[in-house]
Amino acid sequence: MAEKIELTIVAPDKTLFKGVVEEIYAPGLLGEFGVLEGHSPFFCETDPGEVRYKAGGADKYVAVAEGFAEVAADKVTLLCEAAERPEDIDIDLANQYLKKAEEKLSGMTLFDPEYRFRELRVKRARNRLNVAKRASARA
Amino acid sequence: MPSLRALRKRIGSVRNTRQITKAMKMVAAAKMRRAQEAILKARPYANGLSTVLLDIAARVNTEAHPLLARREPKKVELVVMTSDRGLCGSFNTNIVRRAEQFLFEKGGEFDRISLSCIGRKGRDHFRRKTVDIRREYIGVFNNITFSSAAEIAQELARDFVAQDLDAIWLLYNEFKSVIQQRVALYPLLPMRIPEETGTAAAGVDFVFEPDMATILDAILPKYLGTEIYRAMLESAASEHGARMTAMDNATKAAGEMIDSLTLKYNKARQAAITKELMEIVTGAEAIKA
Repeated sequence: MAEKIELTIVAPDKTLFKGVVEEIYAPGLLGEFGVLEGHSPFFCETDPGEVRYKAGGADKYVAVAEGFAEVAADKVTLLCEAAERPEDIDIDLANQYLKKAEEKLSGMTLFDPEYRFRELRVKRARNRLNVAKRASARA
Repeated sequence: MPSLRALRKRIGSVRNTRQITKAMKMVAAAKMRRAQEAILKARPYANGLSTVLLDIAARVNTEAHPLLARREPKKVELVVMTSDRGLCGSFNTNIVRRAEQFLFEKGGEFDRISLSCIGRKGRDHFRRKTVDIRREYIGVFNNITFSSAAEIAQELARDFVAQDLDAIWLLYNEFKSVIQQRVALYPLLPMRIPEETGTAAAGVDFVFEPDMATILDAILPKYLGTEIYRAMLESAASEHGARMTAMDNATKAAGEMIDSLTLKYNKARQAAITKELMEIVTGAEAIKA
């Protein structure tokens, strides 16, 4: 079984991961999708969530913010607004961020021009916290 | 021969200048290091985004989105990126010269060429000419943020979509290395889509999720913003690099000037002493006689 996909995860401030993996799961806008070698070309927007990939038989996790994913037969490129490994997330700080983000969102209505932006910030913050918590639960 | 006093004053003033250029060099070096880090980090994302976008753009119809439209270029805008401050060698001169060359060469080809100036120096130069400056952004280099870049991109995109512009070119200094900048000029819109050279998936239809229009709506403005942002970071890093080199040269030149002035000063001093001695000796001889 020599299934190999070249995965690249980049955020505006860094290249988080670049390497060969066996499988990838990522949060698409319409639900999570998995990619194995030979996937048909596919392009989607992604939501804040958890990316999981298997490299050398071991599962790895990454918390990502919203972005785009391009999938080709042997290549996956994830372009996210932010990407972090769970071990780099400070749970207490993440909690504070979430509280701040929720405060800013509360009181806004759907018609607010900033609503979607603020909502995404909350989603991001909640996701970071969840990913970090899940990682520490696994450990 | 200038007087001793004048020479001493001159040496003092050159010494002051040297101190200033030296300090400026050090400040530029520190700023450049930060700017260099920022651009090196930003490049992979910007490159990834443009690769992905060109991949898509090569596959979809030009009518899929107004920002992908291709029209006969009649109304063209040149985005000129210079620095806000001077004293950075040929940094701004190179850009301005290239911009004028562009205006000269293409002037007859298009119906209308206008400028968008990012940075004070370019604006100041072209304001004195008979060129149409449609937009100017001054002071954005003090604190380069993605949102300010996105705002510029948005304004340009709006005019393009409204068919008020048919093509947009971007002119800026690319950061090659600490001592080297390269003037870069390329079309921002319409995108330069590489010739269909049979990439692995060429011909195969992409599946878009949720759908193509939504994706293009999201990614195209993002792409433009990122391109401007990247150009701004490149330009800032280049500016500090250019200033560092210019100030280093100035410091060296001031040092040489001080040396030669000091030599002159010492010669003049010696001549004065000799002259005085001669006068004394001559005076003594006269009394003896």
